[in-house]
Amino acid sequence: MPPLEADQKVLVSTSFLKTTHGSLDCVSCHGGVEPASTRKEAHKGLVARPSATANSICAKCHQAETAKIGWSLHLTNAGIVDLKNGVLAPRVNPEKLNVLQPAVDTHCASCHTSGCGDCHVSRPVASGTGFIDGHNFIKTPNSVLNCTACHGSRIEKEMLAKGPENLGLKPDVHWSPAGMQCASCHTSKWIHDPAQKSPDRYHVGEAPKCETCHVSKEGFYKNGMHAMHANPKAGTPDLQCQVCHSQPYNNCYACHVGKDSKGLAFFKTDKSEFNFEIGKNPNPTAERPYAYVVVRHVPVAEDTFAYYGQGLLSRFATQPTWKYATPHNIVKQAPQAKDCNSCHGNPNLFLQAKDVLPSELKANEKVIVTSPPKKR
Amino acid sequence: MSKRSTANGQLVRNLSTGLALFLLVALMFVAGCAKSTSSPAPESAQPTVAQGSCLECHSNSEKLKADLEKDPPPQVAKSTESAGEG
Repeated sequence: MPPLEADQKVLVSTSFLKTTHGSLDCVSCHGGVEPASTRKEAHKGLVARPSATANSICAKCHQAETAKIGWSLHLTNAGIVDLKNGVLAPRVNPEKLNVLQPAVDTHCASCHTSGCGDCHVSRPVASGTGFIDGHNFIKTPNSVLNCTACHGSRIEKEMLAKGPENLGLKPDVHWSPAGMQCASCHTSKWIHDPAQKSPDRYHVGEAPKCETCHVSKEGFYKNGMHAMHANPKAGTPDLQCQVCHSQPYNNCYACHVGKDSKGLAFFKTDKSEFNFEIGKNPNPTAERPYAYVVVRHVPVAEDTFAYYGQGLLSRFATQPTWKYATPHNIVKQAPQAKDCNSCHGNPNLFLQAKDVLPSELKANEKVIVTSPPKKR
Repeated sequence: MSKRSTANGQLVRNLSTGLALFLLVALMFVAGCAKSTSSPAPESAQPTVAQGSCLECHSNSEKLKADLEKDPPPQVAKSTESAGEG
């Protein structure tokens, strides 16, 4: 997404002045000096993003919406940066957290939202900031200007079919033609009002589930494939919906971080590629009981943080690098689900040892499919 | 009652209905004209911007541009060594 021109980032529309927020004095939220004769004078003590401060000013009026904001993974990024409970926790060397934490904070924490404003009035800081609509506040974040401004490499590319042209990808059916927005599934309950604190996104109780809308529909189990593979009582392997309804998705490999000669943080990933792999569910739960799921290669490598020291991810191999995934590129009929033998007898759809880097074989033991289903 | 008197009664009723319809259309026309002449918002409805206020610059694209060209904001330093997808 191209950045806004500097003046457009902070240009207030006259329509904003007729709103509730617009009727407040600028300085009551932003500080600064008014009246003033120069920019320097006006911006003395300025708080550019008042919602980013501790005890945000938003909470004064929006108490219900902000009561549990401290649990919001969008705000805390805890799923990534919390080395005791987040996704990296099982891999880290517990004796070297003091070395690893600053590295993770430097390289992996920049994407978190800096407060309410990053979704409700401006583009997120991580994507260059700037008003979405002349300082008008929006109740529902804009799918493009807010959500995919950060979630670009995977969600945007997959949902909008921006992958390699030769794959013939289609946009996610919920996006087009259905016209649903991110917030249609990712509700405010999930984003900033969860019932309990969660270590990462897949543990949030309010996370969207396909079943919520689709299984309750009359006729769902009249579909033979649903009756066989989406019904725990059928006695056949239960499949995650994406196994049949997803298309190839983006996978990243070997992210390495460091600092350049000026001390500025950088990252380099070895490669990114669109492919599709069905693996065994590494961690079946009551919420996700599926036997088979689609798995995505995550960018972390054993030496991702080697710039900061050796052995920081000493338990790297305890977790798969091909992880449970929920690609946002759903179609009614994907090629692998055209008929039974589109999948049965097509081992290339399944994550096998040959698809895994030799150095990651042990880490992926639990997800590699050793006996893909034979032709029927 | 004769046929003639019945015909006169019918004529009177038709004339009354026609007159009522004419008055109704005329009223609607006058009301429409009145509405169309009053639709533009008066200038005073636009917010006034005080000199030296935040909005003097922040609601005026030309002023903002000129000020930012004269004194560009500091750029956020980013490493040029980053490569690949994050």
